[in-house]
Amino acid sequence: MSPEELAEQLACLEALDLLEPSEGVTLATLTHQKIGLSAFQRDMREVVGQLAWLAPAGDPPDRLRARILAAPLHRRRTAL
Amino acid sequence: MPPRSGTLTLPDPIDPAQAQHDLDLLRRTAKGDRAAFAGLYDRFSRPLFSTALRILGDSREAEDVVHDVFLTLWQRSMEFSEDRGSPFSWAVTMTRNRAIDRVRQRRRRAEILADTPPADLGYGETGANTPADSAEALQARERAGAVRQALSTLPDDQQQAVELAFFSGLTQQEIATNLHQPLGTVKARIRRGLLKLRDALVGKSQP
Repeated sequence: MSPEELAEQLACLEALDLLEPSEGVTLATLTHQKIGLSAFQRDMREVVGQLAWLAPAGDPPDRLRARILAAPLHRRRTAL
Repeated sequence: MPPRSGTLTLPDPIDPAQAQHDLDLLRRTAKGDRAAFAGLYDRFSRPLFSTALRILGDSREAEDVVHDVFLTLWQRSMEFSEDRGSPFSWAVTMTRNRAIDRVRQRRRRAEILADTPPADLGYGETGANTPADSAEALQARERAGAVRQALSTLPDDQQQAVELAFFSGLTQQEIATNLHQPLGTVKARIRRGLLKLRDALVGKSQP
């Protein structure tokens, strides 16, 4: 496997939260070395995010919207 | 690296205009704008709930996960960095991780890992409510159709590996065991699958 393929493979696994710790170290090293890898990692996160649409569609119940928007939202950590 | 990195164009919900709208909502949320927060809920809740429900198979637990994710969006929206991805992918990642955490807790408690059905990836056995016929629901179905169509361009073994990796909460090795394949084969299928999926999604959005 070429270094480029390894970098791609690790970025794909990272996007799926499947990296083993040692692979995470390797990916961090490669990210510093390879121009464009960060953009590739971002692309993979977007692709993986799209997989959410594969879940069988279901509307959240109306009570969930009310529950979330009525939650104690003042508990913010810090102001901007 | 592939030349398309950094220039990804995908169908809804992360086409540039929609992604910018999401970003605006998140920035306003970071400033305490409750209307913007409600807008984010209306944009994201359906796919996030569906994802949590698909992973957990329990509507109440899925509600709890989505509730937790939206509170985190409210509390940590100022920490969001668009360098790492879109607000939607951030929200999906949080939802998926929290749902998978719950699944893994269950597995640890009940030691039912061996009972995980191989390739149990069907779309039909959901327990989900039928989506309403609102404009948003129709739009969501269109988006889902676009992604499923993109996924259908992958060979079956890659589809299976990608879906199992996304929804199952299994580790790399567990996926390999589940599929009765060497670990390296599974990693390669995931890589090839995601690359093709990216290309398919890019292709769909190009004129």
